Amino acid sequence: MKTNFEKVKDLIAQSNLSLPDQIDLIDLFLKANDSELESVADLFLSDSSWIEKINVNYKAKQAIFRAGDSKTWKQILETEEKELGNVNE
Amino acid sequence: MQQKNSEEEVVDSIESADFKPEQALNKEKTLFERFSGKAKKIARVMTLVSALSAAPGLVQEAYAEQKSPDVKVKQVEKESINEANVTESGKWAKEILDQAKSELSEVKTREDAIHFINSNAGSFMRECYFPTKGNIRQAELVPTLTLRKYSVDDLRLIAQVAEQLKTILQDLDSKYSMGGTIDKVKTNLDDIDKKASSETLYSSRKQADASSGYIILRH
Repeated sequence: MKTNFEKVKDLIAQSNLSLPDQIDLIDLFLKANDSELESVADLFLSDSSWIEKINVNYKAKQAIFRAGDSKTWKQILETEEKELGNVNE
Repeated sequence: MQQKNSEEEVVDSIESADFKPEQALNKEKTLFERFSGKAKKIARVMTLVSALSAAPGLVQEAYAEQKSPDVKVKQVEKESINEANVTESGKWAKEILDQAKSELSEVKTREDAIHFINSNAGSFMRECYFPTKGNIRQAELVPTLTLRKYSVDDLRLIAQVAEQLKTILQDLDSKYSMGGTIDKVKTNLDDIDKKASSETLYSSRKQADASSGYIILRH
């Protein structure tokens, strides 16, 4: 039986992300516990368009944490909130 | 576009100067509490991405840098390495450092220093990013990518070697005014140090999970 990480990895590999982006995103999820990845596997499996959205979200957050940029962090939160609000509708 | 008043600008500048990753993560988590159903599941993924992007080591470093420039060095020195647990995946780093130390006395000019850095720091960075030694395997997904399995002490050792090479670089820079010549090397050593430090914390947390042992210290 596949682990959640293997499921996530396979779904990312089948996505339209560029190879470097695929590797970066898999690198990121390598750091997680397998149980933490259950929600990621479910999301990517139910709607593969979220792979690209989460990748964009990750890149933005990575840049913010490196730069310590709280202004952009606020913008990210606003975008996320809006996006999640649309899901609820 | 609406222009910000001076008060807002001041608040923004204070917030930028005082960015605390842990608080940022908590703020996001709190913000997402009101969601339910599918949105809640997506929110959970977003918060996980945030936590992984920040990485435990990175969060600690961010705080350390704000408090005192010495804190981070002290933290690294505090982590004692159990030599018995250093595998072939880490031993090469110590060998490179020993070699570098033995060659250091031969550096007499700026040109010597450049050669020294390219040779020693270069070997270290290449082996970190493109592993050839120790417990390695090709990534199933990307056959051109090589992964290496590290013990916690391998990663501690790699972080410490990166730290010591940075110190040597700084000494050479102050003696021979290396300028921009070594900027890229410094950036890469910082990157390796950060990744190895955060992976050390991460591995300590979940060392029982064998599937997590293969780690990429890629730039």
